[in-house]
Amino acid sequence: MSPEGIFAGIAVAALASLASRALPFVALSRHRDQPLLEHLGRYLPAAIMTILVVYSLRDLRLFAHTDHGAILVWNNNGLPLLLSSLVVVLLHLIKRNVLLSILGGTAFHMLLVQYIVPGLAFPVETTATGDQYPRALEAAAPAIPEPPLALEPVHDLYATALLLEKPPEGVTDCRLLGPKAKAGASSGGFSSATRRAAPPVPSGYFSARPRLRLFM
Amino acid sequence: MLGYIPLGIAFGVLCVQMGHPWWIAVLMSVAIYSGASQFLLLTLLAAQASLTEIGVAIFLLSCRHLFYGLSLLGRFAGAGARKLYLIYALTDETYSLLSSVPEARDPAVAARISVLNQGWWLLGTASGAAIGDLVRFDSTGMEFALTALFIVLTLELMCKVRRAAPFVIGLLCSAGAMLLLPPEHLLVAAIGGACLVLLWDYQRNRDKEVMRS
Repeated sequence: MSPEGIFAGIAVAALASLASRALPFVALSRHRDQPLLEHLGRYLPAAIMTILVVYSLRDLRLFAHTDHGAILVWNNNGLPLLLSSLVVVLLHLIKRNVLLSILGGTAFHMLLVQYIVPGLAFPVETTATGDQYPRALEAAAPAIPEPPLALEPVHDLYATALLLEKPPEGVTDCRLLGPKAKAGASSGGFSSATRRAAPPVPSGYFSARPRLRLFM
Repeated sequence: MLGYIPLGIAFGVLCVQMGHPWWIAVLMSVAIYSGASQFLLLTLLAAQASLTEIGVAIFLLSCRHLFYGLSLLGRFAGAGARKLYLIYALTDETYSLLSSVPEARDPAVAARISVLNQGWWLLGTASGAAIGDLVRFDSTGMEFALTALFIVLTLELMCKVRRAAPFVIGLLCSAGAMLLLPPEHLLVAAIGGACLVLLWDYQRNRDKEVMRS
């Protein structure tokens, strides 16, 4: 994120925080004994705090959105979150020490995420782009398969031509091979007919390699 | 309140480990000065949330301060110029001290308590940022501190409120928002929904009381 974005974020957060503290003194001083405010003051913080717990546990990803609506799923990435939350609850119920619960739970979570979970061979869903575990995901993600080594140069040319819609720079004589390739369809002759006539690209080649690498 | 130091250190370390320079942590602690909001801001910044979302989320999270202010309205009335600082520095910890220590009825004492508290918070943040800057270690998983903080605060509120309804409302609203909406709108939608349900709850209770009397 850009420095301006961070400064703007801090400024907005500071204003919001100050507003919540100053508002009663500025605007609500006459409505102090309003029963509605009393009611909200008693129960709203509890509801908000529960929502915040759910919000910060959203990486459990209990729901998956499908074509038929949301369904309940089990996601292995959430296991450390679930276990560490249990540790926090237990520690707090036993010791009732805010600091101990937070530090103990966080230490346990770091231990799980850094040492224990990467050691277990969990099937990691590569579609889950959990913002909480980039490093764990990366470690567990299957390696991108290398393209077959004995690749004819013409395949790379073909791929580049598909993206560029014209022959790459420096290529003066390029002939696409194939049964239907017309004689004389040399430099620049990338008609759809000749494109279809090119030899088949090995399956999995495009999906396995990042697109940008085609230009290298 | 010495509890501010370790939490401040945790925040400072996390902030630096997320790639911000050390003075951003200190700047946040001066400008925002609210533990939970600062942790949440780190999460929101990492998630590339928009400014509107940041503003709404932080304000809703800080809503509890509204009710602290309401209960201290009379107390700060004669504080003069100190009043501005007292309002700005009214955090959870400071409020619990101000409302429990009898000597804090005197605005001068209250101001001294507030200054002391913010001093601890700043000291914790700065040393945490320094530690995070000097000692590079793998901090994966450290963001769980915010989750732990929320869980602990919820448990504490459960002991205080002694009514299941608000917690059930919060749970249902967030589950509903999670089911129906993309995750980036979860927070605001769920809190908005909970407010509406609580308003309805209030209306219903009042109607019942009117019927009884």
